[in-house]
Amino acid sequence: MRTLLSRLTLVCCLCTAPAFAAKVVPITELEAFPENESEQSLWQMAEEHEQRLEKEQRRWRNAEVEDYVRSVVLRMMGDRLDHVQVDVEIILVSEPTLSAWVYPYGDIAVHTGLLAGMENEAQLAAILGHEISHFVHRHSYRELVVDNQQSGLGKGLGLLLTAAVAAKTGAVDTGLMDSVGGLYTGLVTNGYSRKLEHVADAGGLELMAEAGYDRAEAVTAFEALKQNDVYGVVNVNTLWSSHPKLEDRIENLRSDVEQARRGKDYRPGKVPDSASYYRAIAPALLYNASLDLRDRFFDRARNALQKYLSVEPSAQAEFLVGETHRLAALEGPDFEPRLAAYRRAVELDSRYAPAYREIGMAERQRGGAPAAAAALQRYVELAPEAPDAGIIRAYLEDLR
Amino acid sequence: MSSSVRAVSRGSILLVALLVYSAAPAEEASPYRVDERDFGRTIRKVAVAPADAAQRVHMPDAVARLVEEEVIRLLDRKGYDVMPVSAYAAIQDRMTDAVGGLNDPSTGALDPDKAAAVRDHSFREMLRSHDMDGVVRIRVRHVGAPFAEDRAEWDGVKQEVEVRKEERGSPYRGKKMSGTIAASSVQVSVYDRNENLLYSAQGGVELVMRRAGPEFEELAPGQLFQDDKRLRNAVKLAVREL
Repeated sequence: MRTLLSRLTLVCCLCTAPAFAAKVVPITELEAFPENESEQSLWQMAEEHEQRLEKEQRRWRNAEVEDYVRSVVLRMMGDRLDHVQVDVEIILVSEPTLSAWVYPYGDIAVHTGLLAGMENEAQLAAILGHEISHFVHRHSYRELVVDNQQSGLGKGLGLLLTAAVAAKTGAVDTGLMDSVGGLYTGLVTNGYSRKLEHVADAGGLELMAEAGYDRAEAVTAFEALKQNDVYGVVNVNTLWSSHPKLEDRIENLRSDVEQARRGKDYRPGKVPDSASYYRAIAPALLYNASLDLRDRFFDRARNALQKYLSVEPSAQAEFLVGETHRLAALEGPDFEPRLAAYRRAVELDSRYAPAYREIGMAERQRGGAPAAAAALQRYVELAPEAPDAGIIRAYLEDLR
Repeated sequence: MSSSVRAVSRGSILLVALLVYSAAPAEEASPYRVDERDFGRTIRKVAVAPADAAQRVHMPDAVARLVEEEVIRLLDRKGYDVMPVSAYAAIQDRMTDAVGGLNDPSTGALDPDKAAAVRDHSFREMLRSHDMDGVVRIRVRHVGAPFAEDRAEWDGVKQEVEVRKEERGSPYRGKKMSGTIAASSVQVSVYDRNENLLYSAQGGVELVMRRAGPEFEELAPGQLFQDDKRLRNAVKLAVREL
């Protein structure tokens, strides 16, 4: 009901907005933020959306990774927003697709899949820079108040009211659909015109350059958004005809980067090494791999695990690599890749019970009774209270 | 789900109705998650897992048996080589015994970790001990059924919404309404030997709520699953594309 009330408030505000709707200036030119009641109502709706993420347990909390992403955001923002005292919160969302969005008050939501899909900090900065640019230019409010008034409210009330809650880059997330109308898809896609997306793309590149990152990494970062095709989701940019297509945006970015290179003041930025990035987001790599494994995207899961293992030896990660092989072909016949991964896991941690269970199960499956019995016995010793301990004991009885 | 729809304000019903009206009709999605021809080529011999019910669905054993038998009868008629439910059930029962039952001994509540372990190991054991191309899973679940003018339509079926008689003078007396109400459906899914989902479709069974003015009331368990014809029709709808 609160949502309904805030929407009605916003409708009232929109009806009385013409006086101030003529121009929406960037935050950098404002003295106070939000500027008025109608923008305040927009914030309230956005806050409700953010709270829903929490309520639906879709947030993945990890202080270390949140702090790291926030440090990249703050580096890009510099001191340009100090006068309005914006306190940016990073919201990590438990989703394997590659997506991010910004709320009208500056909080930035990032899918764990986006973190895992990037190869270095500059690429992450490219996506964050794009979102920051939407935020600094107050695109959600602008789209809602100015452009839609000019178009005679042609997009429909429901979409209008939801359109400006968040600016999104990446995949359309139907899981975030509004329970009353399923209009969130419209919210995250319909709200940003070609014009505003181009402003955000260009603004993102500038922010990257100011922060010392190589702008060319933005092209690679946006190329990576194509990975969303694996999930069968629709890229935000391909859904609406008024929205620039991802391919077109990549081409535009490429051309902007080339143009910048030809400029006389051009200074090449840095491409931070991948290892430092993987180390900074390591828990997200592991977590997102488990999501991909759950959703049976084995190659994506293995890719993230390999990134993780390149900087951090881990029994759990090795075990999960084994699981990507096992679950892709439950019966084998090629048992070796999974067994090799499980064995690496127990070499790293001789008390890592799940790896012993799967060594035992694989050996049992291929007829190696003594090896199966030894591994399964070790499993029940290490995890006597595991939910499947009784089943494993029954297997052991059969093997004897 | 039902707690959230147990009491819905008139305003919410009307809002939902408005939004449903304004949305473009969705194209019916194929129940196949893979190329239908590949499915036909690779899936011939299937095991049927015992029917289960989603949380909050009180499905009597007799209903589970009826649904399983109907699935097997129809698949058999479509030319599939169908293993009896007893093969899967025997393994599942053995696994359940090995973990000491699926319910927490102190609270009586279902232990989801044990249930997951039994499900996982039963499937793996089926693969190990039986030659089959895939597994058919049957689940009875609650869904949201849109209704207009007190007539609901979902998962291939239609049903009049039962309306509690309003007292004389009530503003809702004789008024027809629109919105979304809870209903039950039979879901039939087919997985390959690697547990990839290949096919999933639903057939509607019945409404599990009635309308009382602008609110909903759950029907008592004894009022549900009383019509075998509806159950058989739900199964027929769920497997019709196979």
